[in-house]
Formats: sequence, structure tokens, C-alpha cells
Amino acid sequence: MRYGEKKGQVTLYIIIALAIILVLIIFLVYPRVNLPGSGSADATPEEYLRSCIGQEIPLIMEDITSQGGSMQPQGFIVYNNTKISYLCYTAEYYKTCVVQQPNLIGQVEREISRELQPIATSCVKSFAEEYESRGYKISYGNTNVNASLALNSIKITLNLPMTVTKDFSRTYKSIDLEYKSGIYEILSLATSIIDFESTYGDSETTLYMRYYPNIKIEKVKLSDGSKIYSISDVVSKDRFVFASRSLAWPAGYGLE
Amino acid sequence: MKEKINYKKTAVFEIVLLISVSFAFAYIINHTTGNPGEKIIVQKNVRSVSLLNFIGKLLFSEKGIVSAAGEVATCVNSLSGKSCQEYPIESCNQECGGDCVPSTRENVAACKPGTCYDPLEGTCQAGSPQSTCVAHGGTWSGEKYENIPQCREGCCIINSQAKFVTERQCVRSAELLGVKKEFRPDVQTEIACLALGSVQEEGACVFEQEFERTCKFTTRSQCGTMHGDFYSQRICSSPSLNTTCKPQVTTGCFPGKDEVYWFDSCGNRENIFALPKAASWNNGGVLLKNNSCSLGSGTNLLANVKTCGNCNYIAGSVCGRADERNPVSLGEYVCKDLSCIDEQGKKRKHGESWCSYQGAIGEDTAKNRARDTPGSRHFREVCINGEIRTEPCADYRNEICVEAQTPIQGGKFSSAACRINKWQQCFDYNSIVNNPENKGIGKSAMQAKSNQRDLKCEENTDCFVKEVKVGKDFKFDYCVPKYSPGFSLSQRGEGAEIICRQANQKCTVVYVKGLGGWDCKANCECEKKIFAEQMNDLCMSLGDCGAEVNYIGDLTENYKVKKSPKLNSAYLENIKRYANEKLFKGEYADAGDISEFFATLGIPEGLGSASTPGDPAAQFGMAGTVAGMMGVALVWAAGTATGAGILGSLSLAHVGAELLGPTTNGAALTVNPGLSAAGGALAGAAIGFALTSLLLQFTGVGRGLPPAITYSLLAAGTAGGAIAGFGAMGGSAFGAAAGTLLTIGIIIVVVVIIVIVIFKALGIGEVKKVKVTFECKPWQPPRGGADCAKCGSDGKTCSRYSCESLGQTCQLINEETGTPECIDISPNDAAAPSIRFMKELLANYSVEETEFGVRIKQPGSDGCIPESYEPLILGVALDEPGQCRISNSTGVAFEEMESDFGSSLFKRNQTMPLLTPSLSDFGLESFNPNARAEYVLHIKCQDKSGNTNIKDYGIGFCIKQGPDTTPPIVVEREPSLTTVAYNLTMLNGGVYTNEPADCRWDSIDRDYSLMSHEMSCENDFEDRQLFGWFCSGEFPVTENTSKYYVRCQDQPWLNVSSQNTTIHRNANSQSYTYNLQRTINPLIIESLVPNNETLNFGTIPASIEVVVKTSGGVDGSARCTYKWGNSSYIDFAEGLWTSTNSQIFQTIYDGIYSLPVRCEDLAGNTAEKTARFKVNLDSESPKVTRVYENGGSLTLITDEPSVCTASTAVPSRGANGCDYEFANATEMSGSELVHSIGFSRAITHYIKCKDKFGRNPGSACTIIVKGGVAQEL
Repeated sequence: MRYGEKKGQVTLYIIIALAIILVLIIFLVYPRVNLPGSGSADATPEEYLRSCIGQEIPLIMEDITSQGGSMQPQGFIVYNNTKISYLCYTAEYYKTCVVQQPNLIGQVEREISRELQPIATSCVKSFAEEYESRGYKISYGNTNVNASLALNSIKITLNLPMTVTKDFSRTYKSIDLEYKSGIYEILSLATSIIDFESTYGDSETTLYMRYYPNIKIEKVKLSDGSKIYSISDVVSKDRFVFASRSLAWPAGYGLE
Repeated sequence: MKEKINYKKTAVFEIVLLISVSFAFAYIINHTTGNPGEKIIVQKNVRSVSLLNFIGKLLFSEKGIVSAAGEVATCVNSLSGKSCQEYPIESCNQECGGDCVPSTRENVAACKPGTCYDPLEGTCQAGSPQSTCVAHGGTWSGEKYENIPQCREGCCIINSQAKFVTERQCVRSAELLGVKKEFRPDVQTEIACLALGSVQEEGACVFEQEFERTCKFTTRSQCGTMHGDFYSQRICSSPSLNTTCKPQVTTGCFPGKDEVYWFDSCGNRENIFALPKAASWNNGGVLLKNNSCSLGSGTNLLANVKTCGNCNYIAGSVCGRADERNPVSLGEYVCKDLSCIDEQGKKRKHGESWCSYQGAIGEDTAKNRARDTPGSRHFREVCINGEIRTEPCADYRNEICVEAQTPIQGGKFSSAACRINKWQQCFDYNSIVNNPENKGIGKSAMQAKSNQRDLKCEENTDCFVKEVKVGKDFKFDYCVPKYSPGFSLSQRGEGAEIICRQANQKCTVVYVKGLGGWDCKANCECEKKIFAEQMNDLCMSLGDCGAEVNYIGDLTENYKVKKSPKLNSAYLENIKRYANEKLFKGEYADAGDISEFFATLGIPEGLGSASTPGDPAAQFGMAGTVAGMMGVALVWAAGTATGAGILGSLSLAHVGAELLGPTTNGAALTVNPGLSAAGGALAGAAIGFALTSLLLQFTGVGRGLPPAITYSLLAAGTAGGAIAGFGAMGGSAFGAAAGTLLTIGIIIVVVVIIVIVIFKALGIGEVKKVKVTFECKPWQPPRGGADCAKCGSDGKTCSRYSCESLGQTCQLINEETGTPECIDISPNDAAAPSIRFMKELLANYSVEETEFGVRIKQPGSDGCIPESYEPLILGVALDEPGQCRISNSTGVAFEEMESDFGSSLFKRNQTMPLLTPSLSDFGLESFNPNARAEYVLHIKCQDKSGNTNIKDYGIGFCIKQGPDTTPPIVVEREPSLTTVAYNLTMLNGGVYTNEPADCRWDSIDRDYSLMSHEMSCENDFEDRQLFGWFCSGEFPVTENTSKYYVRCQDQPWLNVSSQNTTIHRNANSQSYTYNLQRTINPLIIESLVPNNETLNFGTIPASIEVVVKTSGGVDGSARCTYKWGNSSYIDFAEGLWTSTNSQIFQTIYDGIYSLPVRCEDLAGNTAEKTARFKVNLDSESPKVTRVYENGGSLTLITDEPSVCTASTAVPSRGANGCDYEFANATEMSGSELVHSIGFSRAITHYIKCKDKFGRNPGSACTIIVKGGVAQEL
């Protein structure tokens, strides 16, 4: 074999080796390349919507939970310039209250869903606009939001038929988002307190705190017989405030 | 002879003179003294009865209590956004967005309370109205919460977290999280569930990651999802596992755990921190809490805190960062002490609660009077997480704080609760004595009544017997509250006036003129200081009345005493002590026997006394939640042998150990069962019972109040004010004493007569009565508002009551925020109230302005007002709230004026009815049509800041005599109901007339003078009651219908034989018919359910409703009561005074029950019956008693009728095959005790059985048959 031919073989081997190395490098860093459906610049719809909606969740939760589970309280008392729903109420003295809001957990879920509906629609719209500007083709239908509360979490289901197309197509029927929250446990405690208020006229809040170290319950008694309950989780910072008026005593001897 | 005849004549004359003068003198004596003693007693009794009746009617006629009596309507959706609210009938439509339903809530289908179940979430809510439930997507049931299978809670374990929820909640949570769940229906208490969560099987989950053998400490199921190898009860740093994790690198806390743990180099939790390290290494094995180091030693629960991290939150320690107060030997985390130091410097354990007061409380046993000061409140303090929380009890002392000390090793553990103050019951007991039915009963019978009243009073821990003992003749007892209630100082205080006026008393001191002058013969002590002191002691025990200090020590004297010394400084200084809480530190209201509270709601006495808790095994109630008594009781139980037995019966013996660890002082956890606020609040209905009882007592049967009752009538004191007391004269008639006095020394008749005549001329033997009076007024705060800012300065909540008690012009603002403030609303007020006479109240008179005030004139002739029994309503309007007083003289200082004009409360309008004085009050005794008398009332007023009018405001008028030409009118009868009891033979009744009168009755309608039965009448002006002057009589009830005729004659003070023919008494020409009708049939209990039956339930505890139906009697309706255990008879909660009474008992356990029931109708007919029934509670899912193969079928026999299903699906790795839905498996044939299904030995059958109550084994199996062999579960 001539000397020139040997050089050529070596060069060829070097080129092949470099190609192999290049492929290996590409293979190793492939997951980090921004492809449709991954990365912050071209985030998946789940990631985008989670971020978009997730910014609003704390604000919505704060409004709902600080007002007794409603964005627009109907039967309420104003305390600290805030309308707080009566979850259990009686206008009379010496009588236990009537539950005004059974199915509290369901009620809060509905409120969250209702408040998130326009936000989710807006987020989907902005996602579509942004990605279409990047060359994606987005088709989607109406967005329907369904919020569910579970242990330690809030689950948001977006019933959203959507197709994202760029190079390849991906179709969604619904998108599930999950956020950490201890509100379910707190609402369960509120339900228990209301059980006692409606049955016996009062509740023993210190016992809850004795068995659930993270829970703090404050009860403020007003002069008209109303009580403002504030249940909070000192670890997760979740809080729920509501009012009750049960087994109230008239001032003094009972004449008004 | 002539001389002899003269002597004879003289002797006869002298004999005649002797005899006639004797008679004459006897007449004079009798006329002077008139045997007043007996008369006063009778008058006092009846007056007090009538007063109490009147008080009760007035007090309980207002809407707040009337609503409790049922005069309400229901609004389904109110304008303010509330649903299913009851409002008084007259105001309901205004409150309601639509029409109100004229019925109580329970009788409106849409508003009937029940249990709302959310089928999606699985949650249940008690007390929900049907319409609200359905509107929110729920399913409504009229059953009680505990009787609904879907609402039965069990222990749901998800990701090693345990939650006490319903099965549906468990399923839903697992679905949403996409994880497996385990549901344990056999775990029936929240505490046990919490403990279960801490004993989940954990171990090392080893897996490969990035070519390394790493590990995570987790549960088996979690490890399954990670596809790792699970090593149960091993920690990740165990050498045998050969992982990269290094042991015991750091210490720290772990979410959901109380303890301080070691952590390995991989961040995995290891065993509980202990030093030396080897103590918690355990060769790489999991060391259970119970086997870990002991944090406490002896009575010191934190003896080993520096070297042991086995904290226990319930016992008072939890993992936290170390600091100066909580040092540790290694690392940065330690078991932090959660105890507190109270304001007395005493150490309080975590969870301990105690009472705190603003001064003295309860009864001063030495002085026999109540001590709670106006404005004061009871508080409950709790040590939680190292912080002291202060919880106020209900204001106005409607709740009191009670405390119990439970002995534990090394000391005592305090438990406190706010509970209802049963002050109303104390007043109610007095009606045993002061009952109209007691009229005419003998002295011994009355004494028995008094003893009965005293017994009930003393038995009630909230009451005591106040003994008023001024002297041997003036003494009486009254049941009063220990913790006197407060009243609103800014709202209408007429109720307070009524309550306080109970202590108004009049004591007649009797003097007889003797040789040496006037000698006091009866009630002499009433003119000494003891009278005012004793009466004020009673006054302040009724409530915020009389001379009292507020809770910061400011005294005001709100009483009036005439003809007797006022309270002296020594007495007042003694009262002031009550505001000094330092003097009473350590005192508390004892919880006493609380079982009576719970009896009213059907909870048996198993709770025992406050200091000796009952067997908590019987207290698996209150839905078993931590907030209920179970939450309290089980903590106690866990630390005792009894509790260990209970836990053992639940196969949770290890739970106790896990819950508490190897603490040496389990009893330190003791909290007294039933003393929680919920326990206290359980008696919520009891107060309603007491009020209903009082209402019925005072309003009488079937009598409603006229709608237009004016408080001014009360203010005039026309109803008087006296409690039953055997008043001035006691049992001895003074007349007899006088007679005795005068008869002593009679030796020679003639001499005595001469002496008597001389005495008479000198006035010897004359009797003089001095009326000493005490008037008890509502307590008023000090003038002005100098002390407003002190509200809350003691660290306690500043409420409206406490603020207003500090000064007349103190007012609470910003109450709707978290920072209320008590301010002086009139700091610069220097002007006295301006007075305007309210002419509008005297429409039939003309009122002229004069320079000194006004002059009232009767239209026509000379303008003078004739004497009359109808009062003049006088009123003044002020430009600011004020008090007013009157005097007959001008220029008298405000404080010295004799009487209040109107109310002693601060009001803008003060009114007062004035009974026009008679001319005899002016010294004109004979009827003289031309007689005239001028009269001027001088008024001054004072505002809340203490500014008083300098110049008097005068109301003048002249009076003339008016002839009385009209006979009395009978305006009302007593009892108002004509129907009397079935077997009654004699009735004590009477009539009310519109003027003082004598009355008679007869069975024949004839002239007054011919009527054969005289009635006993109270004819003094001050004897006037609500309906007028009362005359009583005894009417025989001989037939089913008895008809009597009553006629009356006025002016009983007039002498019928008067020579003045222009004066005559007017008698009725027509009779008032007094009908009595015996009830035809006796009252009977038609049905009592349940009775003679066995009740089966599937819940523990169960709820039952006892229903009693009555018939006969007046109209079949009755008030029914029941007796639970040793309690006294308690009203049924529902249906009082209807023919169907019912009561729900919410905490019924296994056993045989005997419930005595007693019913009484309006006429006094009674019926009694006892309900006997047995209760069986089935709390377990069915068990298999026998299983066998029979011709290719697997047959099993259960211990109760049930439905069974079987699954043969092969379980996935880590699952046990029993984790399937009951409805999704193959149902076995048979629905009673015998069940069968096709069988193959090669297949494993996982079988579950469910009883008729829905009880099933949850995530476990009833039986597993594998290879033809029944497996042990």
C-alpha cells in the first residue's frame, strides 16, 4: 500500500471517529435541546398553562377562603372590612344555627372553577397566539375548567380539545394540573366545626389543635353572638375564614 | 232613803258606765290596731305572687323569648341572603324576600333540618335544610347524621397518611391522586385513625440510580411505584443493604411526625434521635417509638431532652430548633417544651386549660351574697404549643368558666370550659313557693314548699339560697344565682328594672306609745343599718343591681332606702374588694356534676363528675371526632388500664403505645372528658327548657299578654315590689300584743278603766307605723368616661359590656374589626339636659307653659283635676339621655330628691304615671265638693356626664274631689281558663277589679248584699296588680259544670253606717259569671314509642326518637316530661303543649332502657307511663362462622343476615386481593345467613360480606379461601 493511501485511510478513520463522537454528543444532549413540547422557550401546553394559571391560583384562593368559601358572599357579616359568609346562621337567640352552606368542599370547588374559567380561557388563548407566532399550528375548542380538592392538593382539569402541530402533531383532550394545597384538610375541619355549631351551638377548637399540630384555629366572639372562625395551617400557610351564629345569648336579661 | 236611792242610781250608772266604756274602749283599741299582722301577711303573700306573675309575663313577653314559645314564621330566603330563618310573625315579611310561612322551621318541608350528603365528595353535613342541600347538589335525609351509612366514617390510609373520613371521601381522594387507598371501617374514632397513620409498615426501598445502589425510606406501596426492592423494617443505612447511604449523619424534624430523627447521608429518615448513637442504631433496623429512648423520667416529661428526641405532641413536646430555653447535646433540633407559664407564674402543661376572671366570682359564703361585678366576664385560658390563648365565655355572664382539677402523678391537671350559666333556673325555683295554687295552704304545707325550693336551689350548682334575716319577724329566703347575670347598659333596661325590683321591700315598724314614750314593738331592726345591708345583699345577688362596683373597682350606689340608715363605708369597702382579682387568685367555679347537662340531650350519666371521669368506653360518641368528648376521653383512656383495654378491643393496643411512647406519666395527658366547650355547649337546649318552663309558670295557662304594655306603669311602682316574705308582722298579731300590754296591770276594773281613759287622752296605746322601704335599682356606671381607656388594660377582651360598665359615656367602637376600642363619646359635655313636657301624653287635658314649667288643667269649669283611680301619664322629653327625679319641695338638690321620675335608667323620654293624690292626703277628709288642693311636682334631670339642672322644672295642677258613682268592674279572673282538672273538687280562684272593692259570690244570681260567700280582697292602693285589685275565694267543683256569680262593691274603706247620706258605696247590679268546667275525660297517654320492643341499629352510638301521644283532658294537648337516670323531670324538646311530644336522644348504646314519662295538661290533669325498650347496636361487619365445600360449591354461614361477594382475581404485586369494590365482584347466592358460590380448590377466593346496615370489611376480606383452606386474617 502506498504511503499516500495509508494517509487517506487514517483520515477516513479520523473522520468516522469524529462523526461517531458527534453522534454520541448529540445523543447525550438531545433531551436538552429545545424541541416542540419541551423546554422553557417552547414549553409543553401543560407547562405553559400550569405556569399561567398557577400565578392566579393563590389570589383566587385567598379571595375565596377569606370570605367563607364564596367570591360573592350572600349571607355575610363584615369583619375587618371583609365580607365573611355565614356557613351556619340563626337570627334567634337560644337556638342552634341552620347550615347555610352544606357541601362546603363542593362549593369551594365550584367557586374555583368559576373564577378560573376566564383565566384558563385567556391562558389558552395566549398560549395559542404565542406558539402560532413561533410557527406552530394550534387548534382548540372551548375550555372547560373543573377544579377538585384532594388531600394536599388542588387538581385543575382543563377539558380542552387541542391539537398542536409543528413537524409532528399532538392532540389533547384534557390537561390535568396539580398544585400543592392543604385547603382540603382545612375545609374538612370547617365542616366538622359547623357540624358542632349546628348540633350543639359551639365547638371545642383547642382539641383540633391538640391532635393536628400544624393547625391553628382562632375564634372571635362578637357581641351580637356571631363567631368568626379562622383555620390556618402554619406549615402550608393555607387559611380559611368563616362566620357562624349559633346558640347566641341576648344581652343581659333578654329584652330587646 | 233618798240617799240610798241616790247611791243606787250612782252605782247603776257607774256599772253601766263601766260596761259600756269597756266596750267602747275595746272598740277604740280594735279600731286603732285592727289586727294588722295577719292582714299584712296575707297582703304580702298575694302581692308577691302577683308581682312574680307580672314580672314573668313582662319579661317573657318580648319577642326574643316569645319566639321560643312558637309565635314565629319561617322565611325560606331572607333579604339578607340567609336561608330558612325564623322571625317573629309581625316582622317576618319585612325580613323576607318572599312570603313567610306561618309555621316553625321544622314544619316547613323545605327548611326541615336533616343531613346533607354530597354523593360526589362523600361529605356529610348535619343541620342542613332540605332546600339548601338539594340546591347545592346534595342528597338530603331526615335521619340523624349518625344513622346514615354513607356518613359513617372510617380510617382512610393514603400514602401512609391516615384521615378519618367517609368511604366515598377516601375513594374520591385516591381517584384524584391516582394512588391506592386502604379504608378501615372498623376504626371508628379519629384518634385511633391518627395513631394508625403512624404505624404504617415502612422500610428501605432500594433501587438503582445512575449506576449506584441508592435507597429511599418509605412504605411498601410507595416502593412498588418506584419499582424498588422493599426491605421491611430496615433503614436505608443498614449495612446488609449495601447502599450508598451513610448512617446518622444529621438530625432533624420530619413532616407529620413529632419526633427528632436521625437522617442518613441520602436524606432518609432513620430512627428517633438518641445519644449515644448506638441507642437508636438498632443494627440498621427500624426502632419503634415505643422501644426508643424515653424522653421523660418520673414527673419530668423532658428529663432526657438533651439526649433523646422521642417527642410527643400530645404530651407536650414536638420537634423544633434548639434554643436557649431548649438546648440539645447534638445537632440543631430538640424536643421543644410546649408548656406555658401563666400570669401567676405557674407552669401549665400543653393542653391544660384553666379559668381566669375579672375579680371575685360566685357566692361569698360568709356574707351570703353573690360577688360577680358589673362589666366582668369569665375567660378560659388554654396552653397550646407553648402559647397561652385566652377565650372569652359569653358576655353578660350568660356563660361561666368552670374548672376541674384531675389528680395526676406529681400534681394536678386542670381542665376548664365555658358553660351556660343557669341563672334563670334559680328564679324559676322560687315559683314553687310563690305559686298562686299555694293560696290558702297551711303553714306547714308552705314550709314544705319552702324546703323543696331550697333543696332544688342548693342542688343546682349555679344557685344558692339567699337568706334575708333582718330580725325575727322580718326574714325570708329566696333562690338567687351564684353568678349574677349582667344586663345591657345601653339598650332598654326595663327588664333589668323588673329583675332588680324583686328586692324592693317594705318593712313596717310598729311603735306603741307607752308611758315613757313610743316603744318599738315589731320589726325594730328595720330601722337599723342591717336592713339596708341585708337588702342590698339580696339586690346585688339578683344581677347588676344595687350598690356594686364595676370590675375595675368604681362604686355606684343604685338603691334608695327610706326611714333607715344608708349603707355605711365599711360595708361599701367590703364590696369594693370584689373588684380586686388579686385577692381571689386561685379561686374558680367548680365544674361539679355535669351529668344533668347531658341528661337533657339523652347522653347517659356515664361522664360522671368533673373530677372523676366515667368510663370512656361508653363515650364513643360525638361522631368519635377529636373535637368531641371522645377526643378528650381517649387521651385519658390511652394512659390508663381502662383505656388500654378499650384499645385492645379494637385491635389497637399498639396504638396507645404509638400514641404516647414509653412515657412514664401517661396520666399527664389526662383531660377531663365532657369539659370541652362542646361538652358545655351540649346543654344548649337546657336553657331553652328552663326558659320555656319559666314562661309557662309566669304567663299561666292560656293567657297571653295584651299587646300594649307600657313600662311606665311599672316605673310608677304600681305593681309594688316585694318578694314573698312573711313581712312586717311575722306570725304574731300585734293587736294581741297591744291587748296584752294593755291588759297587764289590770287589777281593779274601775281603776283600769280610769287609767285607760287617761291613757287614751294622753295617747297611750296609740300605734304608729313607720314604713321603711328599700328600693333596688339597676346598677349604673359612674358618670362620665374618665376610665374608658382602661378597658382591655388587664389583657382581657374589651367587649361592649365591659366598656359600658366603665362610664356612662363610654362606648365601644370598631367592634367589627379585630381591634375594638372603648372611648369617651362626650368628653366635653358640660350642659345639663333641657326639659320639655310631653303634652302629647295628656290629650284630654290642656297644658299651659308657665315660668316654672307647665300647669295641667282639666278642660271646663275651674280646670282642677278630679280624684280618680286612673293615673295621669306625665312625661318629659330631654335633648340627651338622662335620669330625672322629683320632689314635693322646691330647691332640693338632685341627689336629695325623693323619687325617680320615670326610670332610673338614662333615657331621652322619661314617663311616669301619677295616681292623683286624694284630698285626704292634704288633710281634707270629708267629702266637700268645694275643696281644692294645689300640687306641684318639682323635677330635675342629670345627663351621663353628671350635668344636672340647677333650676327645678315644675308640673303643677289642682285637685278636687270627685264622686264615685260607678260600681267596680270585674276585668279578669283567675285562673283564666274555665276548664279545671278531671277530679278537682275545690278551686282557689278569684277576680280582678278596676278599683278597690269587696266582692262576694254565690251559686244563685242575687243581690250583692244577699250573697252568702265573702271573698278575701286586697284593697290598699299599693296592692294594685297588673289587672287591678284582686279578690280571692274557694269555689267548690261539684259537677262537671259549676256556675257561680260574683258581685263587688267599691270603696271598702267607707263606713256603711255613716250618717253622711251623700256618700254611698256602689255595688254591681249584674253579676260576673264565674264558670268552672271539669274536663270530661282524664288525660291519658295513648301511645309511647318505643315501648316493649327491641331496636336494632348499625351505628354506635345510635339516635332514637321517643314520641308520646296524649288524648283526653282539656283538648288532648299536654306538656310532657321525662326522667333520665337520676335527673329531675325534663321537658320533651318538641311538641310542648300539643298532643304529640317528642324527644331525640342522640347517644344511645347497647342496653335495656326504662324511661318514665309524665304529662300534664292546661287544667292540671296528669298521666304517667314508662317506656321500656332494648337497644342492640351492630358495629361490626358480618363474620363467617362456618365455611365448607359442598358438591362443588363453597358454602359459608355468617353470624348475621348479609350479602356476600367473592373475587377470584389474582392480585398484583404488593396487593392482597381484597382491595376490590364490593359492587364489582361476583355476588354469592343467599341473602340471609347461608351463602354459596361455585368453588375450585385451585383458585383463591377473596370474600367480603356486608350486613343490612352497610357494614363491610372495607379494604380487607371477611374470609379468604385458598387451596380449599380458610386463611387466617
